[in-house]
Amino acid sequence: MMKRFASAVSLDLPRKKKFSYEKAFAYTCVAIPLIGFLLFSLFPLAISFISMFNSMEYYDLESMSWNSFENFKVVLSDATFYKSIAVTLLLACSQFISLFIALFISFLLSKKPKGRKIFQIIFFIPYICSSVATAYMWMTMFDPNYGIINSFLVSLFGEGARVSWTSDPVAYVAAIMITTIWQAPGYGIVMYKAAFDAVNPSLYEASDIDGASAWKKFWHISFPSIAPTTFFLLMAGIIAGLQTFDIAKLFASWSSSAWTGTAGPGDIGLTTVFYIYKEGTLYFNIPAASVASWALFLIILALSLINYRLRKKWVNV
Amino acid sequence: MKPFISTIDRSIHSVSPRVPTFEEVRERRRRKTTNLVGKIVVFAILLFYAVCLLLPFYVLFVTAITPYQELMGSMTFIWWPEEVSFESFLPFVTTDNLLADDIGIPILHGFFNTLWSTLLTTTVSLFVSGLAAYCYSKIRFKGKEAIFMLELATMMIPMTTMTIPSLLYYESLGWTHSWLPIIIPGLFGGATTIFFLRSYMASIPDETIEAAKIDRLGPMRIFLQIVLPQAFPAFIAQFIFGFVGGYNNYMGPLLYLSDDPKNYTLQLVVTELRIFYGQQGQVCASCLIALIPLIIVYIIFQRFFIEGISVGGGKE
Repeated sequence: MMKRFASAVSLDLPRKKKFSYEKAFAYTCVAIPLIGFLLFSLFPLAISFISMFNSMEYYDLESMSWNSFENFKVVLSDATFYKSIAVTLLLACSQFISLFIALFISFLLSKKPKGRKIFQIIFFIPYICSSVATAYMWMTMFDPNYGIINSFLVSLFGEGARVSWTSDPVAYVAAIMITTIWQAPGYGIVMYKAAFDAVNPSLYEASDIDGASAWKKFWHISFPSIAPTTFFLLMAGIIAGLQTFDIAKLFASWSSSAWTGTAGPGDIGLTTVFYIYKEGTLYFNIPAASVASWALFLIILALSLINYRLRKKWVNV
Repeated sequence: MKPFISTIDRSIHSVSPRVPTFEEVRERRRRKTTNLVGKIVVFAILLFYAVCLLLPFYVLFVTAITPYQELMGSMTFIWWPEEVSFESFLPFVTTDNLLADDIGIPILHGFFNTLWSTLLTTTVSLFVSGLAAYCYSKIRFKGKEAIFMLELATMMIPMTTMTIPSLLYYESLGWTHSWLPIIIPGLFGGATTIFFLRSYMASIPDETIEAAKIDRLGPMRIFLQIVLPQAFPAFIAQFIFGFVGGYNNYMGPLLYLSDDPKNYTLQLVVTELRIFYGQQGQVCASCLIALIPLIIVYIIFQRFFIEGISVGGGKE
């Protein structure tokens, strides 16, 4: 409201020139990113939208013909599609665990332990590693024979504890989740660190005088101050989790499943974006890929809008 | 004089804080030790977490230097090979590989491709975003608020979900199997960067810019000579994020560049050469070489990484 009022006032101010070089410059600079958005976001969106209602051959736009919602029927009756959504939701859960780890670790860091700076530097390293290196690194860790994880399990619980990470669907999903959990918390730790640093120290001093316990201090002082950060990270995490592709795709090249083209044992690692990728590039079925993409697009758009609304509310409070 | 002082001393002792009781002393000592124990526990947990995070790098390194035969015969993890071998690195760091005709030394070739494409898009995009941010924050023009809201709205659109359907668009432009879909869309700046830079530029005093205007400096020169130097930390932070994103990009190159070895980026060298050199040691070796440059860059510039996130992300 204030902003609108301010701009109305500025418009009433007398101006010397109607159109100056400075304004032309401003309009040009401001227009370039919007033109980019139009050309490389809105146009692809529009074409993909149209393709949903048509059948087509290969990627040939000319071959498009109306097929009375056939693509929707095919995708929405495809059990693989629903399974991919379930798997994606399951994998997105690893974001909650990552968030919890980030909160816990940055809480410990806020206690100002020795070597705090070096810890911070180390904790962020996984976040800058490429998904390619991360996936291959963890495939080595999880190797059923000489992998370090099975080695630990066997030395602790005996030979029976050896897990076949490549062929057991549950273990396979767990391996992907652990890989994500290794990589993801770095971002949250840095964000939380800033949030913890921003907490007013006099609040802690006051609560010390009142003799509040450590838990009470955390719950009543730290937590409300870091709540907006938590909310932001949660939404960003869910949105990222729903788009899991890289790790799932790279894990699919593990062991023998690589040559059959399945995503892990029984296609268990087929996330929604991986499903879209397969439809779009292996089966050249862009209309089906578009239907699935739009479904995901709308879900994430809704989440972003809710995020934006709530965040505005929270920050203003 | 001496006895006089001593009487004062005694009087202070008798009036001032009473002597703590035995229980109180014990309580204080207990608190001190629990504090110390707490500190050690905190440190131990953090150390454990750090070891967990770094362990995969050790595994990567050890697997890369373990000879193939030793690795294949083993049913447990090898903490250190009986005989250290750097053979796994050879296909990637020499021309002794199946794709040498196209890409010579694979890692160098991939590194070169990644570097030029990422530096080009990141620099141009940052410049374009910076200009737009400067206009939004320091120049008055009609409809600014509305256009800015529009720019912000573009941030909401989750375009990453549309990466694969966009194939159709780039195919109809005839851009697939080329660098164009990777490079061109990246040259137009980004809403997030504009938003971040704009909020940073708000701290530059308007007087500085007004003074430059009186000196008859044009908007471009004001941007280059005043805004850019003053907002430099913000530009560095955004540059780093653009660079890391480009360096690690996997899906884009996979879709458009993976069918021609000449176009392999660093990440594609690691994934595509796995078809020919897929022994675990070789895969680990290629990952290691691909990781090292970025980790070195990170350790040198870590301050900017961490500050960039906490400032940029916090304001979003």
